[in-house]
Amino acid sequence: LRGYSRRNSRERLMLTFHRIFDHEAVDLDKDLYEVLGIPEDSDEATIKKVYRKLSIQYHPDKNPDEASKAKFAEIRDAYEILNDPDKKILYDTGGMAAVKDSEKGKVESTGDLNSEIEVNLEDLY
Amino acid sequence: MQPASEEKSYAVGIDLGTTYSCVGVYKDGEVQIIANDQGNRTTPSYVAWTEQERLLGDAAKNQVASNPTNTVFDAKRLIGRRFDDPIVQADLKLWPFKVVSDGTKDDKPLIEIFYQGVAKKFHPEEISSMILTKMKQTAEAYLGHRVREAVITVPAYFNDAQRQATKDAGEIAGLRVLRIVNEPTAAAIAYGLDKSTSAQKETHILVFDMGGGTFDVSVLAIQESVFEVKATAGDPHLGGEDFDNRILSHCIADFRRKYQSDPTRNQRAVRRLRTQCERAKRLLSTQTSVTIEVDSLHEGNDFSIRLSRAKFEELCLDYFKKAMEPVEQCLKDSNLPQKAISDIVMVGGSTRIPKVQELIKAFFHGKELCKSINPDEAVAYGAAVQAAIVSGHGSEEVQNMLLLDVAPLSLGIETAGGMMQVLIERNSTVSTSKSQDFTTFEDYQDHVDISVYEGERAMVKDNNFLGKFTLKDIPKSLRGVPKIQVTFTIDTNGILQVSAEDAKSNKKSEIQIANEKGRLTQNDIQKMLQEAEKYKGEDEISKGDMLAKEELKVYFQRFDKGIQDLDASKLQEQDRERLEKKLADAYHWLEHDGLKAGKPEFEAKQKELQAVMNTETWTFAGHLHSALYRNDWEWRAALLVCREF
Repeated sequence: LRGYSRRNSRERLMLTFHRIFDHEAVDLDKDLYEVLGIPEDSDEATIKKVYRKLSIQYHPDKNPDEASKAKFAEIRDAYEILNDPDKKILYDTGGMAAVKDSEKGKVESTGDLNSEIEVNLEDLY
Repeated sequence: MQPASEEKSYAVGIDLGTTYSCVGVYKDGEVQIIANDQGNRTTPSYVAWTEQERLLGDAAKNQVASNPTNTVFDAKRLIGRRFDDPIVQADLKLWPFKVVSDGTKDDKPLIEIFYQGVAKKFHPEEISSMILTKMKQTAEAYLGHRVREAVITVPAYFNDAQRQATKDAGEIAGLRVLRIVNEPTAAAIAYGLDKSTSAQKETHILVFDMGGGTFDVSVLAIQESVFEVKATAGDPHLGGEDFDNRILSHCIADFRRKYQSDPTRNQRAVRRLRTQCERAKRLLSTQTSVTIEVDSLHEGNDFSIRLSRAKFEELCLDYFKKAMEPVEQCLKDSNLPQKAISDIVMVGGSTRIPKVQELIKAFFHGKELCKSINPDEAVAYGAAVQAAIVSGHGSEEVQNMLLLDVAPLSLGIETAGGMMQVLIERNSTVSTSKSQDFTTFEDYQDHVDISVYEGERAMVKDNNFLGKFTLKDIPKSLRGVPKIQVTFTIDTNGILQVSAEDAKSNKKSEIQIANEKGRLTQNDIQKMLQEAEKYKGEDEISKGDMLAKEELKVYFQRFDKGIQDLDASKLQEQDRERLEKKLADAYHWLEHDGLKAGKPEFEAKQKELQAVMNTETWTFAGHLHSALYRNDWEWRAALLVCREF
C-alpha cells in the first residue's frame, strides 16, 4: 500500500462527516407535546410556562439522580424545538423527521470534499 | 472529609473580579455582603510581596507605588490563556510586574516576583487562589466558622480553559467549588430577588455588566422563580482598566511634550500616574472636569493636566462603541424584539460612566436604565444566593429558584478539510449533551484524531483550539463504514467533556477538554495547595513576628521607665549608665538588624535584656538592703520594680 502512505498524514486521520444523528431524539415518533404534557394547540406562553415548571421538578440542581437527568434532557430537547418558531413549524407539519432533515441539510451544505488519491496498479489489483 | 464540623460550614458566593473582588453569604434568610478587615465591601484583587511578608487586598494595593515590580494584579486577564496569546502580549507592556512563559509546549504564563532575595514564579491560578483565600478569610472572620464551599463567578464569555482555571484557583485556595456561575446571571438573581414580585408573567431583562476587565451582556427571561438565560455575548477583555490605560497614555504623551523626557521606563512614576488616572476616571462620572496632579513624577518634574469629561469620552469612544456590538448580537441571538426588554440592568463599576449609559439608552430609544441594584455588589449577591441554592441552605423562596444558563460559544470538532462541525450550538441551555455519528475518511483507517474547538467561524483555524485526542484500534474496513459516535457534554459549570466511541468495537476514548490545553494537572494543583498552605504558615509566622516585636518594644518602655523611676539613692550612677547603654544598644539593634529578624530573635533579645536586668536587680536588691529606706511605701515600690523585671 505505497500510495496510501504517500498521502498527507494529517489528512488521512481526519474524520469526515457522515451523517447527523441526534442521540437524544432517537425516537423519531416521539410526541414532543406529550413529553411536555400539553395539548398540540398550546400557545408559546403555555409551552414556556410548562417547560419552566417541569425544569424546577427535574433539573439536576434539584434532583441529582440519573432518571431526572434523563428526563430533564428530554424536556429541554423538546422545548428547544417547540420554542423555536422555525423548528416548531417543521415539527408540526413533518414531525421529528422533518426537523432532523433540515438539520442534516444545513450540515451537509457546509462543503464538498475533493481529495486526490494516488494509486498505482498494484493497489488496484 | 471532616463530617464532624460539616454542619458549621457555610457556602459563600465570591465575585472574583479583575480589579476588585467581593464576597457574600446567605444567612438568616438574606444575603450579607461582607466587609473586609479594612471595612471595605470590595477588596482589590491585588497580591504583593514586601521584604518581610505577603500582602493581600487593600494592603497590597496601598503600597503599589513603592513596590511596583512585586505587586501583582490583573491575574484574571492571564488566567486560562497562553503566553503567546496576543492579548497577553499586549497587556504585558502595561504591567510593572514580570510575566514569563513556562517554556513547555502549553506555553503557560508565569508571574515572576522577588521575595526574600529569591525569584519566585506563580501561575495566574495561584495568584487568583490567594485572592480567593483573602475573600474566604474575610467571610470566616465575619461568620466565625470555617468556609469550605463556594460559588465563584466568571464572565459569561469566559471560555472553557478560563473556567477550568478559575475552578482550579478555588481548589488551590482550599475551597470546594460548588458551581461556576456567569456574572450577568448572578446579577440577574440579585435583580430578580430585589423585584421579588414573583410575577406569573414572563419578563425579559438585559444585563449589561462592565467591570474592571471584562464585559458581558445577557438576555434573560424571568418567570416566577425560573431564570432562563436566552443569550449571552461579550468581550472577555474590555473594562475600566482599558479606559485607565487610555488616560495614562494621554498623560504620558503630554508629559513627554512638556519636558522632553519619557517616564514610561520609570515603573514607580507610571504606577503613581496610573493611580491618579483611575481616580480621575471615577471623578469624571460625577463632575465634568478634573485635574490629574502628581508631584515630582519623573526626574523631579511635577505633572499636572486638566482632563474634561468630553476629552475622556473622546479618548475611549471606540471602546464604548465596541461595547454596543455584543448588545446587538445578544438581542439578535435571543430572538426578541427590542421592545420586549422590560428592564436594562446595569452592573459593574464601569456602568457609572455617563457616556456608557448614554449610548445604551440611545440604543434602546431612550429607555430608562435600572440602577436599583448595587453595581459593585450585585454579582456577589447573586453568587451567594446560588451558593445557598446548591448547598441547600436557603429559605423556601430561594430553594425554589432555578437558573437555566447557556454555553456562550459553539463547540465542535474538526472534520475533513479543516471545517468546524458544531455539536453544541452557542446559547444552548446547560447542562447538555449532544451526540453525532462520524465515519472514517479512508479505507482501512484504524485510528482517528478528534480535535475540539470553540467559536463561531466555519473553519477551525479561525476558532479557538481546546484539545485533541485519538480514538485507536477502529476495526479496519472501507471508508464510510465504521460508525463513531462523538458525544459532547457540558456540565452546569459550563465545562466540557468529550468522548468518542466506535459502535462496532465499543472502543471508547474521552477527555475532559480543559485537561489538555494549558490546564494544570491534578499534581500541579496538589503542589500548589501545599505551597499555599506553606504561605499560610508564613503569614502566621509574620504575624507571630509582629507580635514578638511589639512585645519587645513594650518591654523596652518598661525597662526605661523602671530605670527612670529609681533615684540615685537606689541606683548607683555607673549601674544606671550601664543599663541605659544596654537599652540604647537594644534600640539600635531593633532599628537595624531587627528589620530582618523573626520571632526567635526578638524573643532572644528580650531574654538577653531580662538577664541583664536580673543581675542588676540582685545588686540593686543589695542596695535596697543596705539603704535606709524611708518608709514602708518606698520599700514596696522597690519590690514592685524588682518583680517587674
